[in-house]
Amino acid sequence: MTVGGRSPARSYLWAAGVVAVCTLVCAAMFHRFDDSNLIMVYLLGVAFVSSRHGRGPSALAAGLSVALFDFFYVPPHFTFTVADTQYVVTFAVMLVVALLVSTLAVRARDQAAAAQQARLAVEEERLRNILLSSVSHDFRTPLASITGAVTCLLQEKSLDAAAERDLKETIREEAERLDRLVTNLLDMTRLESGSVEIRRDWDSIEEVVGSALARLEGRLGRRPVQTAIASDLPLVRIDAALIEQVLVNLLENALKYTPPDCRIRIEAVRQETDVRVTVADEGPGLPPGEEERVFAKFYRAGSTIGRGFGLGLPICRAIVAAHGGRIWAESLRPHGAGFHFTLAAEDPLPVSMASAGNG
Amino acid sequence: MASPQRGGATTPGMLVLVVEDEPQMRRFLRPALEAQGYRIVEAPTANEAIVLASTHNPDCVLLDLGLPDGDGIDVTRRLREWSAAPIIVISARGQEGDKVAALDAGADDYLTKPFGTGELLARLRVAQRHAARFRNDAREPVFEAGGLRVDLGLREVSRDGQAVHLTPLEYKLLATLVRHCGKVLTHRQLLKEVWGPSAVAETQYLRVYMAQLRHKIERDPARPALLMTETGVGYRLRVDPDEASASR
Repeated sequence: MTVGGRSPARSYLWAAGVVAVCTLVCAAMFHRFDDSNLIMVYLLGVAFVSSRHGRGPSALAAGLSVALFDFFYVPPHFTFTVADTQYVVTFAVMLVVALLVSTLAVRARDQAAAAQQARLAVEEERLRNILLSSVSHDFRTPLASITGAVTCLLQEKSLDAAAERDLKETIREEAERLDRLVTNLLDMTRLESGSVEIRRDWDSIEEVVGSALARLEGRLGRRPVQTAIASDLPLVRIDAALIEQVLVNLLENALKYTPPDCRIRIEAVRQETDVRVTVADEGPGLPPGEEERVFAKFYRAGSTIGRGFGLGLPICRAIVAAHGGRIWAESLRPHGAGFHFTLAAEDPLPVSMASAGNG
Repeated sequence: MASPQRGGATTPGMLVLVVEDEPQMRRFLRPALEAQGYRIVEAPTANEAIVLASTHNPDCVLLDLGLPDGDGIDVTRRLREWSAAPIIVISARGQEGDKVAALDAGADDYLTKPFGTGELLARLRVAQRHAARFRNDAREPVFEAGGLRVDLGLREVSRDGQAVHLTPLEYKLLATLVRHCGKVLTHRQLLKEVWGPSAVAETQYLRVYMAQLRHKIERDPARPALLMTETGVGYRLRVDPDEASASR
């Protein structure tokens, strides 16, 4: 068994190398020290190999040690002939020690690995529990209001028109929220498992901004939105549906964390070889020092419950990363939050538009 | 094919074939459509859809793409072999490829689940208007919506009363959208019609010309009210910008 990703062949080379070093050390000690001390050097080498490289290389180290010790230092020298039979005992002890140490070391390593795996399992379990409690809470809240509103509509005969309308609105809004939750959860799962296919095509940022805003039309309401799309932007090669999702998530975030009359600004500029897109608001901004953590899964600013899974920004990060871009957040002066992402601006189109058509 | 008295959106008796395997969906579609005076036939499978379409000759087909026994795109193709009735496909988000395939196979429009009845009825009205126009071959020469006026006969375009100058290709693109107003057109369909069959893969032409057109026609090109993007699918000229935003 090998540990730390070492290939078996390399482990055997290591074993041979260690024995070679031992042989050199013994050469320096030869004639000045007793034979038993030379054996100690080999034994040390074998123990060292056994502790790190498993049974096969340990046995090789033991065998090689015995052979080299015999060849160089057991009379008659430079032959494998053994004059004194007591050396047979030496050889046997050396082999037993090698196998014993390597067995112990392998067992210790297995136990360490098992412990590590147990730790990971605990951590995974913890994340799963967070997800589960988050999911069940976030699903139950809208479900509870839908159930409540519907039963009220079915049972109360004396509701006035305004109250009835209000209950129906609740049902619609909560159903839409459930839809968003499911979409986010599915997107994250699919992005993480790598089953999302990126379908790149030439697209204009202005158009994707437009479709993201159109998708949010209902929820933006009267919210002031200012767009500043530079007129010199090149087309970019992107998966428009995914980049639209990034913009939708960033805008939803701004809607969630800022007061209803707070302005949202969308900006796109060319920056050297990139196009940089910014969604900024004039709300309270990010908690200090949390600019990076907001992209972590299940993170929610101010531990506000019931606002979502805390998956919107991690999804953005995964999508932008899949496009080879970068996404980051910053707090703005005097207040507000800014989210930026970059997309590579490729070479200008090789086509001449004038000759492209027949009109 | 369809009898001549059928036409307007609220004319009673329009027959809609609902091809949907989920009983919950049918449960909401039936009352929503019947309340508007439509008649309904329901088919839970692709095979039944084909049979019912041939026996009932519906005026419009609502077709879910995710059927248990077959592929909605195939159903579209088979219906189109003999029927010109508008087909509106229903699909989930993320199935843009299927939507495009269904539209290119002859479907008229699509709805993404979950959708509201407002959206559903608006799509049905647009589909019927097109079918009626197709039957009578009577093209309305003037299109007017949200301050935009396009006169297909005189080849004149104006925005809030001001004449807009368009290049020939820009006009051709706009006129194509006007002829199919309210209906989604795939990238492929637009490229084929405006640039010709050899350009069907050149989406970048479309992006560039659509951007130019928006800058000449839209009040805010970054928040278009008329030339709508259907992400991953194509474009749609919105017939009534105010109605569309209110029904969401």
